Amino acid sequence: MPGDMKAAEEDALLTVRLRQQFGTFQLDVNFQVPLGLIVLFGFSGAGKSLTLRSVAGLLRPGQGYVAIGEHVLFDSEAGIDLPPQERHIGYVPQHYALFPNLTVAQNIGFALPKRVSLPGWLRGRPERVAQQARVDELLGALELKGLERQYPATLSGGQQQRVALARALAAQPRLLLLDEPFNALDIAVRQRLRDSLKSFQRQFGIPIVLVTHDHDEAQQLADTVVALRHGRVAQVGGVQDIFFSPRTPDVARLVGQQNIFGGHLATPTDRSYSPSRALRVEWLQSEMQTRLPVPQGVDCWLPLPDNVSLPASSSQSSQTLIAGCIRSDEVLVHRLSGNVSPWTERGAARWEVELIEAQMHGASTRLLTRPCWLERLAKGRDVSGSVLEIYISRLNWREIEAMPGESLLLEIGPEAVHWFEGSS
Amino acid sequence: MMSEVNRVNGLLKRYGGNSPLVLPALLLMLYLVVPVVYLFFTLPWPQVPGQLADPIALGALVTSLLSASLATCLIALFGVPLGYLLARRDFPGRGLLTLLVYLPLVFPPVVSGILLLLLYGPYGLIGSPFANAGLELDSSFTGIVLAQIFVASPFVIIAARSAFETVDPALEQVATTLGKGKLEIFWRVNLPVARAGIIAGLLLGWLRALGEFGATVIMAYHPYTLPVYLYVQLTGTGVDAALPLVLLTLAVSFIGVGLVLWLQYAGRRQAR
Repeated sequence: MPGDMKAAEEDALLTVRLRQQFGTFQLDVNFQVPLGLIVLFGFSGAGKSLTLRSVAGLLRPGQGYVAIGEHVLFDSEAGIDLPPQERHIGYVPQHYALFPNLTVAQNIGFALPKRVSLPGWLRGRPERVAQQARVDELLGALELKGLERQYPATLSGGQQQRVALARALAAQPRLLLLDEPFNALDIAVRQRLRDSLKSFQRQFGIPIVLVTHDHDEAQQLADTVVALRHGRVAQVGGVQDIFFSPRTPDVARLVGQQNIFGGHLATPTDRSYSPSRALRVEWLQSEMQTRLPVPQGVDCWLPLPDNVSLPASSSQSSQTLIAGCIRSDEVLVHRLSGNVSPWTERGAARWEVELIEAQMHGASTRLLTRPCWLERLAKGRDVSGSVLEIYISRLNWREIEAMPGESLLLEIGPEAVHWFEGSS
Repeated sequence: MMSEVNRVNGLLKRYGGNSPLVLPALLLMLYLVVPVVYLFFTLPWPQVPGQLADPIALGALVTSLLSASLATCLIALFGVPLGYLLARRDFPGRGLLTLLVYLPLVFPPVVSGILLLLLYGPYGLIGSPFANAGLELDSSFTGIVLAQIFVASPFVIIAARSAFETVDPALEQVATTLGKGKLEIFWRVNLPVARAGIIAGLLLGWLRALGEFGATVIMAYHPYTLPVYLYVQLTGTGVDAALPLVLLTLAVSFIGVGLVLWLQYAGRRQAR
């Protein structure tokens, strides 16, 4: 069975260009990505579901172009607009939308041509047998054997999901669209079901477009991530690209990087170990948009990664502002012990911070801190909203065990600093 | 006496806590139930079987059952599609149409009867050609059915509409992506999923048609339906003669409402 669904062209592309006004919301997406497991990633209200339903043909975009490989489904200029019935796209909505009045087997067989009820001897026997075989095959492939006579209401969330997948597959689609497929499930089973979705995709070789706002889900599943924001494509790339090198502050926030800063390039003088290039941080952008001028002698430097090539114009200029983020899980945290130099031997910046709060967060501990230089800079301005968010391992936290209000020492190496492309 | 009061208070506590809502609710309950219970104590039981076997009473019962059933079938045929359109399609004038559908619900039945008589009566726009052809639309079985359809339709349309509204549109969307057309989706998805609500509406409509008096008595005094015959007995012979018929009507209503409630319960269970 996997054979008959294998995408004909291995390197086929999904092309989506849509432009439509929905009330006050403007959807204007444009991306072309290799078929595989494509994740549409964005906050709620970013236009993910609208995009998905437009691809399925359930919504009619004003202008645009949608194609799977060479199959053009929609082309407003050429006047092509295939109805959803002819697009051969499987659609699995958020809560699976299983037909409550049909059994599992009937749900899966829904797409198969319904024969008029004729007396047994008049019915097309071979075809019926073929249909039954198809349903059986899918029941087996998705581990639903034994449930065929049950009704959807009696199934667990995971089983419902598999029935919905089987029902979509029965129609032999070219592409599967999954709208937040794990939202309706208990958190405990999500991880496992994501793994099984991955193996499901490999088994059937069917391209999938999946909508989610969940970081773990996108990281665990995606071959390609399409990051959406306010109805537009903010960035397209692999998991590494999106999560490790977000291109804009918007995408950084989307992937959970809170420590967004701005500043300009300068060279620290008369400091031991200081790198030749460093960033003099001016303000933390996350909450406080105001720019705080930095007086001499205040240590708010960040190292620049070696592989960062500066825009020619800004390489020398200390006037050009650039923006970036401090990766919250790549910072070392120590107890504060006496006077230390602002730079380590390996060129990491040392920041003294005040611990505001420490929380358990899964396998790690989340620290909210405030750099002490910020207090010194603020001079009476309210900086209570400006925090630096750090994730450290439980092990690391046990060594520190600081109380709120105590001071800690952060070690921010070049690997912890990322800056946004063309942010100058 | 004191112990009685204590016992009532105990019951109130057990079933409703000390809620101040229990007392008014209980009083209204009593008001609704007591007349029915009282009937059983006043019925002249020895005469009941004989009076129920009265051929005119039986004829009236048959007329009522047949006309209400036929009316309900016709309402189903036209009202279910109307309910679907009101629930699912957006078209200009939908609000006005909904309003018009609700109207027969609040008209005094006599008014409905007069409106129908104007149109279908022997001198009416539609009635006169039929009357000329020797086919009386009023004062006939047809007249009864016409009156019943008019007063009972809203029940079915409203029930069908809300039943279709509870069908998750995602079901239709999925069915579309599975290659199915609108009509097939209506038959295989919307109708079966909304079934319980629609059937409940049809039962309510049937009961309304069965009990219909005001419009019927104006459109078609003859042949007698059960309510009309009841009225005739009441005014002609007296309360005692009408009581067995009251019992009969109550029995039919009781079964009907029980079915409606059960269907609603079943519908909710399926929706979960």
